[in-house]
Amino acid sequence: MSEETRKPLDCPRCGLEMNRHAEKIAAHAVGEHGREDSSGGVLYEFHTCAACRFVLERPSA
Amino acid sequence: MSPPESMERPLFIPVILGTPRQGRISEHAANFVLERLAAWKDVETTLVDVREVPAPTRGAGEDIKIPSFSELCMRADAFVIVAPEYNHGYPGLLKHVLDTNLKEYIHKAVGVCGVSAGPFGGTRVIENLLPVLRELGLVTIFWDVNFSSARKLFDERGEILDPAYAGRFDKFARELVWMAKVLRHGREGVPLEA
Repeated sequence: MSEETRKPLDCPRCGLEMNRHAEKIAAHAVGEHGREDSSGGVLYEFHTCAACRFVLERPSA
Repeated sequence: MSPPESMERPLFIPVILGTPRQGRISEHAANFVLERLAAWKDVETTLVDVREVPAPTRGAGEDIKIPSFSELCMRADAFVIVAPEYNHGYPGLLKHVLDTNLKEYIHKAVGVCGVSAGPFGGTRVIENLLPVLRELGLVTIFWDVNFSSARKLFDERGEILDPAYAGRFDKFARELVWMAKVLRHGREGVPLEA
């Protein structure tokens, strides 16, 4: 895992540090990031803000 | 010890009516579910009619994300899907609409109410939906509601005729609410281990 993806995300709506609670293969992102796994998808991580419920995704390292 | 802040906030659990067809009996089932869920302590709900979700058909998945629907899904803690069984499967438009989101569903609870004209109450549509919901990142509960013989189950005003459904729905809702609370706690405060 790179330093950049280890860094917690701040919520763009309220500024609170978000909780990284899931990783999942996302088939929709194939081609965008070029890191397909053996199933043909891209591994994403998912973050939720406890204050405003905003969610973010980003490719996992 | 006081509960975490997230436990004090009401749960938001939309009810998704999964068919756009004219004459849909599922609308009566969805209204029954909505009414009972709205009366649940610390639960807010609303009806999402797939007929009213402006999902373009020339495109698919997150490429046609609908801001209003995505925002609602992001706010939701759980979902109830009311789905009729069409030729043993789910309505195409329901799948089309569900596919427009992903991150908005991750680690959220979902329960399915099946509707069918026959005696099995949409059992097959529920079974067919489960792998789809799992792939979308939702967490399915182990209670369903099966609206069987749906054409005879509601009167002309759409009121349910069999009083047993109230208790069946309440069992379903208890499990859904529990799962929604636990998953909210997890989403907001339990980090995935590195």
